[in-house]
Amino acid sequence: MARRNTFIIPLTFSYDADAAAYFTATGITNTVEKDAINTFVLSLKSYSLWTTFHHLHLLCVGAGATQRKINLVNPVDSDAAFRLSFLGGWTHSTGVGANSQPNGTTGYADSFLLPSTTLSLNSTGFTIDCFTENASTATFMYDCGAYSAFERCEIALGYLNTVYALINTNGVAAIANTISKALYTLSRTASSLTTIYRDGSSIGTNGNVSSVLISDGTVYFGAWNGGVAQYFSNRKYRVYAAHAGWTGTQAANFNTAYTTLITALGV
Amino acid sequence: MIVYKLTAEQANELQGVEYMKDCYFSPTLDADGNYFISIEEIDQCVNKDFEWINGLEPIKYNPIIADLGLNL
Repeated sequence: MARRNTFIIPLTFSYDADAAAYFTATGITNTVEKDAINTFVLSLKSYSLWTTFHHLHLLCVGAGATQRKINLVNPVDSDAAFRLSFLGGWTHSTGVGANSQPNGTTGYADSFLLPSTTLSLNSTGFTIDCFTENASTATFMYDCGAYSAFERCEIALGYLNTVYALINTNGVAAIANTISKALYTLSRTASSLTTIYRDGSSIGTNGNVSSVLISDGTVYFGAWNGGVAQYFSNRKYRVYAAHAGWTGTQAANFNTAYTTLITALGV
Repeated sequence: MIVYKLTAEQANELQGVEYMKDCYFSPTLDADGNYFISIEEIDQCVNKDFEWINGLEPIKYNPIIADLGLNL
């Protein structure tokens, strides 16, 4: 009888190189997190979103500031790579509902993103997953922002049921919005068009005309940089990103990829 | 809301110093001219050099309100 030799060829799995670099920089070793993030990175690349980001911070992975300060798309621990510097009071929670929450009095993060050197006047967007429902609050708080002599690059997701998406403008138009707890993309794609997407679908536009890119202050996250940090937020956040202006399809695709990430993470 | 009062010298000493890994003190000025830090910064501080912050005076939070020009 002929003898059949059986060879077992080991299958090796390797993470996407950019995902792997993030794991190295953050020290994330949890396999569930690594697999979920790897799939997320591949999805962003398949949707051609990856190269649109200036920074993308996952605030629902890892154990706290040391992991969450790292920019997924450029995981270098430096200001030039847009790491977040967590200043003042923050709480970083893990497990189901994982988030990072500034305290509303001193907490914010410097993204080190200077609009004039990084952003494009008529193609700029911010994406924020807000995990707190307080759109009707009478306390004005900025989710991110920089301001200089009436020039604005700032987002406020909820104030008396109104959302402000003032991107590279000195205009102040806003739209009605009764929900803050959602994934928001706020995207300028033309000189007089900014669109607000909630969970991947447009909820309205504003016609604030673009003016200039701020050159003397970086964009703060969880507060507003008007020379010093002010209008501190107490909202919980799960993702924060700055990117080029996105179309409706791009915002919807990000929502799909991000929803898959959150589901896979189990948070 | 309660925050914790600092002198200008104390604020200068804490500014930008880590209270735990990758989290930094951020003394903030209020509308009364007082510097303050938050309870989170005190509770999470693991820097033994700053145990004195546990004795800071609690004061009511009174933020500076800048004119945003938003016609709020």
